[in-house]
Amino acid sequence: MADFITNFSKLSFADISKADDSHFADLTNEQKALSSQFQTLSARLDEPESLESLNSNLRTKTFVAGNVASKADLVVFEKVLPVASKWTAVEDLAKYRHIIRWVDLIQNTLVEVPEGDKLKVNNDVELPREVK
Amino acid sequence: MSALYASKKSTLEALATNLKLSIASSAFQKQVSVSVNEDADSTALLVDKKAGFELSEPNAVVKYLSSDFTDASGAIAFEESQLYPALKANSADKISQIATPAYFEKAEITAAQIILFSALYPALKDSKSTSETTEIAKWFQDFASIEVVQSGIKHALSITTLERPKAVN
Repeated sequence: MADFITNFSKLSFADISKADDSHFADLTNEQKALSSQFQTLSARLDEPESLESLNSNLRTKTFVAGNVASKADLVVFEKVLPVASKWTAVEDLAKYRHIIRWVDLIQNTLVEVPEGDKLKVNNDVELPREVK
Repeated sequence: MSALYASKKSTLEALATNLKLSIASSAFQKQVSVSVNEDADSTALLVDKKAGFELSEPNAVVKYLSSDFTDASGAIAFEESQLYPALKANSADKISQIATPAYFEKAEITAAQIILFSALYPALKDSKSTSETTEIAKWFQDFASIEVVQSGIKHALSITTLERPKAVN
C-alpha cells in the first residue's frame, strides 16, 4: 500500500468525479460491499447514523473499504470534507475522531485540496478517551 | 457464513429493508434466514463475526449476497435518489407519486431487481393486473410471483411490525 500511495498521482478535488475504479487495485467482495455502502451513505450525511457508521468503520480500517484505497475514498471524501471542516467543538472532534484521521490521510495522499479548503487538524486538542 | 439481522423499526423503510434482506437471503443464502438481533443497540444488518465484517446499509447487503455490484440499468441509483426519501418519509403515497421508469424487460433475480421491488412494495403490493397496468406494475407482479421472492416476502412480513398509517382528517 505504501508503494501504491507513493505512485498514486494525486487527483485535484475538482476532478474527483472523474476518478474510476481503474485507478485502484481490485477489491474483494467484502471490500466492494463496504465501498458500495459508504458511497450510498455519503449522500445521506444529514442522517447522523451515516457519519457514526463511517466513523465506526474507520476505527479498524485505514481506508473506507479496508486496508486498500478505493474509489469510495474519493467519493466519500468529497462529501465529508465540507462537513468535517465545520467540526470545532471537542465533542464533535471526539465523536468523529476516526473520520478526521482518515480525511487528513486522504488530503495528504490521494486528493489535492486547495490550501484554504483543507481540513485543519489540531493535534493539541485533548480528546476524552474513546468509549466503544 | 454471515448472520442477517432485520431492521427493528416500524416504518416503510424498515419493511423495504427487511424485504431486500429476506428476498436476497431466500435467493442466495438459503441456509441463513433474517432474524431479529438481540443486541438492541446494533444497527448492523449483516455480520460475519469470524471475518470481523459487517454491513448496515441494505443495498450493500443485497449486492454482497448476490456478488453483483453493478447497476447497469440505473435502477439502484434511482432507488437511492428518488424512492429512498419517500421511504424515509414513511409515505406509500409519496412512493406512488414517483414515476418509476420500466427498468427491466423481464423479471429475474438480480440485486437491482430485488432492491427496486422492495422499495416499490409499499406502493404496488395491492396493484391488480388490468389491461391498463403500467409496465412497471406488470414487472412488479411478475417479480412477486417468483417462488424465492414469495418466500422472501412472507418472511419479511413475519419479522416486520408496521405502525398503522395516521388518520388524515
